Parts: sequence; C-alpha cells; structure tokens
Amino acid sequence: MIKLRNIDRYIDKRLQRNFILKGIDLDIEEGDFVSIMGPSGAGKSTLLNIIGFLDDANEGEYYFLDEPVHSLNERQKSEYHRSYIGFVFQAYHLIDELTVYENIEMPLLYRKVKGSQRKSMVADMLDRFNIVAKKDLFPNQLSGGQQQLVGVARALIGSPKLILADEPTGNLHSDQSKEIMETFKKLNKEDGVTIIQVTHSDEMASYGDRVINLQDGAVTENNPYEEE
Amino acid sequence: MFRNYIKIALRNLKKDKGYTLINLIGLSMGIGVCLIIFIFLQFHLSFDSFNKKAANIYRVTTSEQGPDGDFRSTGSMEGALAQTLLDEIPEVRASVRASRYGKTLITIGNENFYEENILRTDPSLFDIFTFPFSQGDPKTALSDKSNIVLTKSVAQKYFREQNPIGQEIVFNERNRYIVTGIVEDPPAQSHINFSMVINIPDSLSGRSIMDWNWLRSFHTYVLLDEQASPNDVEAKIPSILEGKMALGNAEFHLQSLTDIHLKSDLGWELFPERIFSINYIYLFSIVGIFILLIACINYVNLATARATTRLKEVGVRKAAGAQQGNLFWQFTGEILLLTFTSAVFSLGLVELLLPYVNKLMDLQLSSIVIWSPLFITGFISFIFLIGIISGTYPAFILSSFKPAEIFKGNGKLLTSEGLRKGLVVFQFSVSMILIISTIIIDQQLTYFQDKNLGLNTEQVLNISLESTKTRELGNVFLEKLANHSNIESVSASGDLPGNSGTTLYLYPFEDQELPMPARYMSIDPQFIKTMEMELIAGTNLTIPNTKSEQISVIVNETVVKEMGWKPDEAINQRLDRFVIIGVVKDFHFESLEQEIRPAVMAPLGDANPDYISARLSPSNISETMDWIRKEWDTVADSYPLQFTFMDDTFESLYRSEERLGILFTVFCIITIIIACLGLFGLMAFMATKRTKEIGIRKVLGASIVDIVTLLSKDFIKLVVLGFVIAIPIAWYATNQWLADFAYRIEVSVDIFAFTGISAILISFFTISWQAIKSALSNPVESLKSE
Repeated sequence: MIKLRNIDRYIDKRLQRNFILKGIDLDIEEGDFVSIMGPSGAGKSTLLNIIGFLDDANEGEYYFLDEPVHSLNERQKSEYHRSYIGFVFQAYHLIDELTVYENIEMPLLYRKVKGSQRKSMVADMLDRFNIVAKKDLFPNQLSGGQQQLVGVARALIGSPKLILADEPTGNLHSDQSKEIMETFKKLNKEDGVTIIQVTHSDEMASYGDRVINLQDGAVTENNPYEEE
Repeated sequence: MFRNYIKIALRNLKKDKGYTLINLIGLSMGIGVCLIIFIFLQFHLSFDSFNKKAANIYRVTTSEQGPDGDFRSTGSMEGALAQTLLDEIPEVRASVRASRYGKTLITIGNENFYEENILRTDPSLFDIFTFPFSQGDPKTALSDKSNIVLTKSVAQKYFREQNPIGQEIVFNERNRYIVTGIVEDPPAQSHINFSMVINIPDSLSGRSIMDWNWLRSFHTYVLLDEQASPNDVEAKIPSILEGKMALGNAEFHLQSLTDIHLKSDLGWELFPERIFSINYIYLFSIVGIFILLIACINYVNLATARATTRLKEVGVRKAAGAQQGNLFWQFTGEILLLTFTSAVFSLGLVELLLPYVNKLMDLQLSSIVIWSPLFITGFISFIFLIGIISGTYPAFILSSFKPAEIFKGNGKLLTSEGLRKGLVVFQFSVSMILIISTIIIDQQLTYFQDKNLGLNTEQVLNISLESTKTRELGNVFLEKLANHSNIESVSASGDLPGNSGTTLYLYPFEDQELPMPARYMSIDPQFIKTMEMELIAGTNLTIPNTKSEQISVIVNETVVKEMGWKPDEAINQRLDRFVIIGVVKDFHFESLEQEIRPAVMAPLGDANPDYISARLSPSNISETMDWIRKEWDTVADSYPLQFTFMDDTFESLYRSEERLGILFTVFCIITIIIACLGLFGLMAFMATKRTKEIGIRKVLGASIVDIVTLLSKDFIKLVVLGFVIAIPIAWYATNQWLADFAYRIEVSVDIFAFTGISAILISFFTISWQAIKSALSNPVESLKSE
C-alpha cells in the first residue's frame, strides 16, 4: 500500500542542511497495524505527515497504492487524502466552535456527501462509539478520552483505508488509552483498516503487529518484535 | 457546506465579541459615511438632469478680455441674441432668455410683500426646460405680457384655498399681472430657481430690448437638434453676429446644461447659490474613500493578527481534506457576513443621519436614490468588493498555512507583522492629515471673523429700501432714527460693504489707456462715522450746496497706493472726473477671499438713499428693534421692513467655507474613532498574546509602568511615524486651499505640534486601557494557564 524509497526531508539553515529524515525506505502493506517509535526529534511525526500528504518530502519517491505521490499535483493529492486517509491527533484537534456532531460531520462536507446521507453516516458513527447523548455538546464540555473518541470517529467517518494517529493516547490516562487502542485493533482486524501510529509507549505499540524504530531521521529497526 | 461556513462564522463572531464589534462599528461608520457622501455627490452630479431634454440644452457664454487685461466669462447676453440664433442657425430648435428680477414689492389685494427669485423669461422656457404645470397651459400661459406663472408653493402661500388662476398681482405698485398658470416648484437640483415667472418686456427706458449694443443682461439657452454638434454651432455664432453687434475679442461658447452646476466659471450667475465647485466633489470623494479604507484596514489588521487563534482550525480542516480554496472561501465568507451586516446597519445610519446632514449643510438630500434597484445592485457589488478587498489578504494568509507546521507549533505566525504596521501608519497619517486640515479651515474662518475689517460691523442695522416709494420715505425715517437715544448714529447710502456693488472703470492716468476698476459707493456725511471707518487724511464729505462740476470723493488707501501717493498727497488730487478730499483706511467691502480693491465714495447728495444704516447701542437691542419696527410701520404703512445686521451679511460670505469646516470636523472625528477602534483591537489582541510574557516579567519584578511602556512603545512609534508622513502632505494640501484666499493665516508649526501631540495622546489613551489591564493582572493566573 505504501512504498517509500530514499525519502529525505531537510531544512536549509544558512550554512548547513539539517536533515529531519534521511534515506527512509519503508513498505507498509494493506491491513498492517504499524507503530512508529523513537526518541523525541527522531522525525516520527514528520514521517507520519509525509505519509498522510500533510507534508512533502524534499527527495525520494513515495508510492501510495502504486500511485507516485511525488509527481501528483495538489488537487490529486487532495483527492487521495480525502478518500483514503483519516487522522487522529495527540491533542485531539477538535474545532472548539463546532459541536460533536458537526466535528464528526466535517470531513464529509469536504467530500461533498449529500445531506441525508451525511446524517445517517454521522448517526452511525455516534452509535458505534456510544456518544449519541453527547452529540450537541461542544469539545470543551467533554473529557479527554471522550474528545479523542470523537477524534477517532471523525477520522473514520470517511471510511478511510488508512488511519494515521500521532500519539493518539499521549494525553490520556491508561484506561482511556486502552479503550482507544482496542478500537484501533478492532478496526484493523474486523474492517481491515491499515493503521500507522506514532507512540512512545511499548504497551501501546504492542497492540500493533509491527514496529518501526526511528533514530535521527533514519529507520534503525524494522519489526524488532518479529525478529525476536 | 455553505451552511457550515455560515454557522462557524457566526459562532466565531459571537465568541470574540470585541473583535466583531470593532469591525461592525468601523465598517458601518465607514460604509455609512460613504453612502452619505455618495448621496451628496449624486445630488450635485445629476444637477439639471431632471430636464427631459437636458442632453441638448446649452447655455451661451462669452469670454472676453476686459479693459484691465483679465479674461472674464459671462453669460449675460444681448436681448436679440436668442431670436437671432433661432432664426439663423438651423440646428437651434428653440431658444430662451432669462434674467432675474431683483427683490420686488408685490401687492396682492391690500397686502404688500417682497418676493425674490422672480424670473423674466420667454414662453419657450417651458418648452425647453421641464417644469410641469399643475394648472394652466404651458403653451399659452405666458402669451401676454400681463401674464404671470407662479410655483405651487408661492400660489399656496399667497392664495391658500383660493383658485390662483385669474388672480391679480401688482409689481412695484405699477405693473399688473394676471395668474395664468401654476408650475411645480423647480427641483432643488435645478440651476434655475424661481417663485414667479413673467415675460421680458419689449422695451426698457423707452428703448427696445432687441436693439443691439446697449443692454446685455439675459442668460440665453438654446435647444439643439439631437444630431447637432455643439462645436459646429458654436463656430457659426461669430459670423452670424458680424455687423450686428460689436464683437471685440469675445469668444462664444456653448456650455452644456449639465455642466453648469459644477463647472461654471461665469463672473455672474442667475442663481449663484445653485453653483458648486467640482473641487469639493473631488475632495469629498477622496475623504470618503479614505474613511472606508481605514475601516477595511481595521479588519485586515485584526484578522491577520488573530490568525494565530484560527490556526488549529486550519490544520484540522486541512487534515480532514479541505483544500486551500475551501478555507479561503470560508474566511472570505466571514468578512462578507461582516460587511453585509455592516451594510444593513449603515443603511439605517444613513436614514438616521441624513436629516442632520441636510440641516447642517442646508441641503435637501434624499435617501430615495439609495433605494432604487440600480443603486441596490451597485451597492451589493460594492459591499462584495469591500469584503473581497479587506478579506482576501487575511483569508489567503490563513488558508495557506501548512498543517504539518501548525501541528508542530512553529507556523510562521507573524508573517504579516510588517504589513500590519504599515497599515497602522497609513491610518494615522490620514487621520492626522484630516485633523490638520480641519484645524486650518477652522483657524482661517476664525481669522475672517476676527480680522479687522477696517469698519465695525457689530450692531449695525442695515435697512434696505427696496421700492421707489420706500426710497422716497428714506430721509423721513432717517430723521426719526437719528433722534432715538439708543441709536448712536444713522446714515444713508446707495450701497453697502458686503453687497456685490457697482464697479467703475476710472481712467486716472493721463498718459495711459489702462483703467483702474474701482468700487463705487454713494454715501452721506454720517456714513464714515456710522461704519466706524477711519479717516486718515483730508476731510469728511459735506452736503454739497451747489451743483459743482467736480465731485468731491473719499477714496480708500488702495487707490492712493495704486496712484503712488502718500495719503496726504492725495488730497485735492484729481481722479478721473473726481477730486479727492479724504482718504479712509482700507476696509473690506467684499469677502476676504478677495484682495481689497480701490474704492471711491461719492456724496449721495439729494438722491434718495437705497439703504439706511443705524449703529445701535449694545444695550436693549430688542427694545430698540421693536421701536424701529413700530416707527417703520407708521412711516411706510404697509411696506414690509427689510433689514439685516451687517455682521450677519459678512458672515454669510463665508457660509460655504463654514459648512465645509463643520463637515470636515465630523469626518475627522469619525476617522479618529475608526482608527482608534482598530488600534484598541490590535492592542487587546497583543496584550492577550503576551499574557505569559507579562506574567513572567511581573514575577521577575517589572512594575506596572514598565509593563505599560513595554506594551505601548511599539504602537506609539507607529503613530509618530504616521505623523511624520502626514506633515508634508497636510502642509501642501492646506496651502493649496489657503492660496484661494487673499487674506489668510500663516500655517504655523503650532498646528502640527498640537495635532501630533493630541494624536499621540489619543492613541496612548486608547491602548493604555488594555495595557494597564494586562499590567494589573495577577501573574499567577496568567502562568497557570500554560
């Protein structure tokens, strides 16, 4: 599904070039549940953003579903982005001015889904995450775990093939974290959704079936657990 | 999608009430002022266009070199010109003459009134111009010399419920007229204004009006064929008149009817109060645009400054699949919502304020124009344009952030800092230019009022003896006034300072052809005393006992100067046909816009006076006035008393400048309010953004003064820079305006210093409220939130 070849991401400072990612080669198959791990500043989030079309690599090739992303234009990228990818953030990133219902509905608006269909899709999602009663509340009226559930629901509403989660449980206590991870696992197993998460926690990484270790912008270990 | 945008726009606007309010107030005021200026401009720009044939109506004017070498344009034509043009030039379909009959005594039944704005014209007036009749037939209404047509309001005033048609009106107790028609009042947008219309007589003083080369007193209008070119017609005129009249070096022009109101340069207009300077049209357009720009700048500044608070939303929406275009339109939608709401408020504002504007400016502006479908369409596009102008940049900035950078927390948040500073500088430059201009206009007007006129106009009552009968009674009445204890001095004269007056061309130099144009006034010996003029050489006039061939006159200093004499040397000198016996210190007899010209005052002799001037003692003026009215009634019977106070007459010379001054003051205040609103909003925002910094500084021991200085410093710098830019522009602009006045103030450094200091103070007060609030806040609170 995802094929990265020799991906470089750098920032040019006055005299030197600071590499955030250097020479990344990575293959991720459809149905994988991958955890990206590594110390702060290793380039985990940057890698996730590049995979999710939110950032561009400076060098290298990126194939998404065998499509060369590096040579797509903005509109085409946006099309892929909309149809295949859902994001979950550490800080939830719900829009404060929108209700739970409206936050979940938002991606559908950019996909130009019809009103009646939107309604049933959002209702479905609310039902699935047991947050029907909270649909008219605003994000600041919810607990962190509930907010992240809304975040996940929002990521799933467009039925993406790929979910990118940047430390989805970083701000949550352990019970809430487990709930979110269980949800991911279920999605991965039952619906075949590919999941790539960035995490610092071995416990969270253990929900997945593959771990990629990043160090100073390079992949140091691919699947350390499998080799054990 | 659209509904979602509206929803989030509304919630955002509701959430940040201060921001919304600042923009709403600023934009409503800006758009409101623009609308009022638009109505004002529309009023002036569409003058005379109510005439159905306006496009083909022209006024004939000539420009001619006067004996003093200056070119003068005039619209006063010979009586026979209109008919000659009609007969000889095929393109001329109709022609009409018009002249204004001075203030006239009219008698209806047993009652006397004075009526102004009586128009003497030809029956073709109603064919060429569009003055619809409500009673009578326009074709026959003026068919006889004894016919008179009244306007509806005048008919109502004199005849009330009676049918005016067939009623008799007597002019000057001599000429009898029968009312044959009633027309609608001429619109406020007509350069021809009248209350009554009569025919031009065939002859005056026993000589036919149609004789060439003796009387030039008719404004002449022609109606051309639709296909005719005015230039061609213009070119034909001299050859047609060849041999009929002395052409001299006169050039003939056809002035388009719709050009008259704004572009007339004639020395004398039929209705000078209906003429306006196109320069003011430009001036008001510029001021309107600037006020609107300042309001738009507030939005741009606040929206870009606030962009930081919207970044997360941008990131999330982009992550959810939004393209830059989607976001651009979302943010542009927000400003459109704001501008359209402001537009609705501004329409209300116009309805509310227009009556005051009319009162202030003595105009009859109507908001009807802004409810026409054409205007509404234009207005909507205009509002859309404002939204786009002020919304595009912030929307572009906001929508162009990369989500990856936003989430990393290092988005370039202050990209528009430089632009924002520039715009604040611009706002304050414009505000200060307006303040300086306003102060200078005001000082110039005060200067006019306070300037030593060379005569004392306070408490001088001028009684105008309008009709032959009252003129005959003038001396009798003068005797009565002279004996009243509250009247200090009384005099009679044939003219007064402040009136338009008569100009004589004197030829004082024996060896030169060059004339000296001089104002001529006939006065009695008490005149100098009553006006409190100062005789600096020679003696006052005496009542001449014999009719000598030489006329003894008093001249003003300017005459003496132009002749190259000293005042004392002038005594007993000849001046054309006069002998100088006295010299008075220069006095102003015209507006201070004009330089003092030579003036010659000759004895009134035993001629009947046109004016009686009385200097009243300052105490009991109203009692004295009551007594004067009573005495007038016993002497003059049913003739109404016509009087003015001389200081009013002089003040009225500057009325248009005074109105300009008031309007500028209003604009100035509005601009300052809008600019300060913006500054206030920016400051509030900056203070919130620096809450943490302020907290840390306070914990480390910064005092309140330190914090206020820290927050205010940057903004005050911008205001100072704005001031520096404003100085040369304001200097140039005000000097241009002042150049029109012969007597003017010096633009002093004080004004600039005052403006600079007050602008800095105003802006300091505006921002210090926020600054002090943040400085006083508890650092524990602000640091806890992190």
